[in-house]
Amino acid sequence: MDKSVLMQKQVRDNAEDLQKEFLDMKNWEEQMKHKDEQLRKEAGGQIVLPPIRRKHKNKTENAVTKKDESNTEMKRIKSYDYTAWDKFDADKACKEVDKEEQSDESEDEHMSKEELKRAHEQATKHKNEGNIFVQQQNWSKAIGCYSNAIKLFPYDAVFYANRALCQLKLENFYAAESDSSAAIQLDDSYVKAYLRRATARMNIKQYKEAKRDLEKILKLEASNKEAKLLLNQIENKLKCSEWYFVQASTTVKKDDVQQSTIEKESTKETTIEKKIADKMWNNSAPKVQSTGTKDIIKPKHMKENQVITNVKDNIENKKDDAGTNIKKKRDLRIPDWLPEKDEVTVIEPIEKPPHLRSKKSLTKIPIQELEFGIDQYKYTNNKIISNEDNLVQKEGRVEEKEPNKESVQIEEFNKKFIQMEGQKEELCKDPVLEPRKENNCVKVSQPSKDIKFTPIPKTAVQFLMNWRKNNSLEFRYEYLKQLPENSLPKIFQDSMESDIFSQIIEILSIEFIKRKDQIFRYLKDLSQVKRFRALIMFITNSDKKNLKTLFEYCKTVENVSQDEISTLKDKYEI
Amino acid sequence: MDKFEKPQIICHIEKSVNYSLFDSKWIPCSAKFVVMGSRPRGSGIIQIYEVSSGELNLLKDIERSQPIKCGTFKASSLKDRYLATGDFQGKLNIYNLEDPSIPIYTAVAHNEIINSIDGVAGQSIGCGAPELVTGSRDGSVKVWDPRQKGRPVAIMEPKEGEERRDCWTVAFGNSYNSEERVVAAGYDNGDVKMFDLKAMAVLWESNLKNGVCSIEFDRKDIPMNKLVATTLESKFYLFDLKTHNPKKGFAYLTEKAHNSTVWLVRHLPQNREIFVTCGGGGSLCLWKYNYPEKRKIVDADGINEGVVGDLTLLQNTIISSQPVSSLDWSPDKQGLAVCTAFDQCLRVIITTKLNIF
Repeated sequence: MDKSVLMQKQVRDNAEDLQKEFLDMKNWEEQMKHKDEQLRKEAGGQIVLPPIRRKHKNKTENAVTKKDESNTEMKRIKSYDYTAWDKFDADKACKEVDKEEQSDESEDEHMSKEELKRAHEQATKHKNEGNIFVQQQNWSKAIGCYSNAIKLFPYDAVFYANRALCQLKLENFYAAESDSSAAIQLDDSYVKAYLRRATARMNIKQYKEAKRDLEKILKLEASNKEAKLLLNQIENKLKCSEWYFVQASTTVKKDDVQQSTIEKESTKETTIEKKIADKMWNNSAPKVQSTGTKDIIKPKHMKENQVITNVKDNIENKKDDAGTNIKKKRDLRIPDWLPEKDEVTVIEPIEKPPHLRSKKSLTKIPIQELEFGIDQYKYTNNKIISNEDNLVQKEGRVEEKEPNKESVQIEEFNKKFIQMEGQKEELCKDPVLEPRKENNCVKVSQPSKDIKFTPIPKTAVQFLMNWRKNNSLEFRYEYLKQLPENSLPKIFQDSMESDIFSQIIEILSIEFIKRKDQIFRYLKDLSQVKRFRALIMFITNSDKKNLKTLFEYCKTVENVSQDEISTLKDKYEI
Repeated sequence: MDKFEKPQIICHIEKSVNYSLFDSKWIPCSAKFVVMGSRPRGSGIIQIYEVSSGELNLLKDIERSQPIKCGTFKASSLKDRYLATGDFQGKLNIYNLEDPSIPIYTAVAHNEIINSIDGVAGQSIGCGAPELVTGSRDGSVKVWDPRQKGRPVAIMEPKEGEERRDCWTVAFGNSYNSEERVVAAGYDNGDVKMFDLKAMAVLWESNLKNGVCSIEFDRKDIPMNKLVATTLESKFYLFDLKTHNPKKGFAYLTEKAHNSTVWLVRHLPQNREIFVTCGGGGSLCLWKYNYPEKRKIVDADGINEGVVGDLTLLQNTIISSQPVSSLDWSPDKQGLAVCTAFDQCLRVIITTKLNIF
């Protein structure tokens, strides 16, 4: 045949081949789709796979029996002379083997029964040693022995339970709890382990969990006396803590002070936070229990308002329930020998995880040391009154400095003022009389305390925060008083609002006039605040009235020149 | 004349994509394959395509934060068909392609890019535990078992203080029973190392003078038979692994091809004597290995020595203008393969007449 004919045939054949191939492809695609579908539907029986590769520990043990593990390991690797990688791997492998021995318990899944038996025997030896130490009450050494035993044979609940006992004795309650949990995991009918866990949990204040454990014990062994005893204790404690929270909120309800709402919120907060804290802080050190003898408050990572509420609650508790309630349900932690056991409330430390803690710096809380037998109530009263006396004395001194003529005028002015502002009469009364009438000195003392801690604001936000936080007139007076001259425009820039503006004017007209302080500078400062004209445009009638009295005051008391007053008056559009 | 009797390599489907392709793999027991690569903005992408009557249907598009360098199905059973991938950050991830949003297995495998990944024993039963091996620029080769979270089952790396060479390629082999297994690794300095995982020792090492781009055993699940290693400078080596001579090592042959870097070698799953090499110029060479008459001889000292056979070039085609970065033979259809090249194209190719060999 001719060559060219042959070639033609080849080309045709190739084309045919390709056609066939493409056709085949199509069929194959169909087929594959079908197969794919089937595979996906198939549930597929579990194929038994070989174990995960390990560092050949088992094999080495099988090959070279009764030799130290590390020895065999070393020897084995030496037998391979491929230098570089080999040597390196030896070190690495050894480390890895050690690591695995500790971390990966599943390693021992492949231990033969014989090996397990041997390990158990050795571990039991360690355990017996530990038991001897326990009899000698050498707890830490006993723990060492049990740990060794566990390392050798981690499947015996007894080792864990015994170690838990030692941990309990050493007051490592968290360790004790985890050990007993491990024991329970291995043997869920191990009464002793439950008992130990319950004790540990009680000590770390997980009462509910402890209760559950005890109930489990009683299910397993209905006549277990220890469990019953513990259960009683726990129930008492549970009741007590419940009572504490209920009590705290009810006293607040009784309280008719305006702050009650805030307090309630924060007590709620504390209870919730306490619960959270209890859950999250399982690993924290045993909680600080406040002693009964002295009423020492140790705020640890508390928010300042919580501290205050706690202190308040404390005092109020004492006031309101002079023994009636507390006698019935006294906190278990208060020892009986305390003389004023009925009047002591235990203040729980508030423990919060770091991310929930306040970012504010801690406020100083003055610690009062009280002597036994003195009625607290009276004591605080006296103290406050003496405070007020001091205040009065100060005022007196101020008055003395003022010229006599003027003081007469002021009195007149004051009277006039009081008549004008009839509705605010009670607030404007002589400061000497005020605290005597209002016996609830705790609340009075509160703002004056706060003032000391409120710094001079630098921005409008700071100002507004402090301003709004405490709306007592006295506080606001002190707050304004400490502002240096010309600071108001700087603080506020252009963010003065009309309500704040009128509040400031109100304070000026009430508190400042009452105390005969300088007002003119404030009026001047206010007039320099940006957007002042806008503020004046929206001024209310009562504000206008106040402003008029203020100017009157400036004229008569401060002796400001007529010119200055009139220019300022123009600005205020009066 | 002869030319027409040879197998033909035909580009069946060509598809251009808008990202760099690094690897492609057939999904076992399906007409689908995955391609892995890197978006221009530096994120990773996995796409699943289905071959359907001469066309490619994009089935799924999986975006990942890191570019993906390599992937394999080899360590996963036919039922699961999980894709194990290695990315530029050195992370080893295993995805369930049915629900690829979260990898079912993640491990920070290496400090640097994982250049190569291989798996074994996923589909073949009785050949040991399913395992993955990864080779990275950080110079280490790590063996992973998907059942062990976060921790490799074996690490092979240079000693502290020794130079760490970039590991370019890894491959499993010799996994014919549940214990025996070998990992071969090729490095940028031309080193080839064979690690025996059973003994945890270096079984054999050699230097091929040029960086080793790709290495593959002709079969994973048989006692090791042949190994092909391709290198820079248009050379590849074929080792006969049946007989190891203590002095001369394994018998081998070298072959020049492509006139450029030989990027890749892939053995045909249906015939282990046939393999394809991919070149830097976008060329594919199809080779057939012919065994010698006797595979070993006894030398003067009475020690066995291997004998290497020869290679026949079956076909040489250029399919791309850029280097072919990956090629995967379909395990289910002889002659069908998917390949990716640096011209941002993926191609489904058909090789005809493979059945006659």
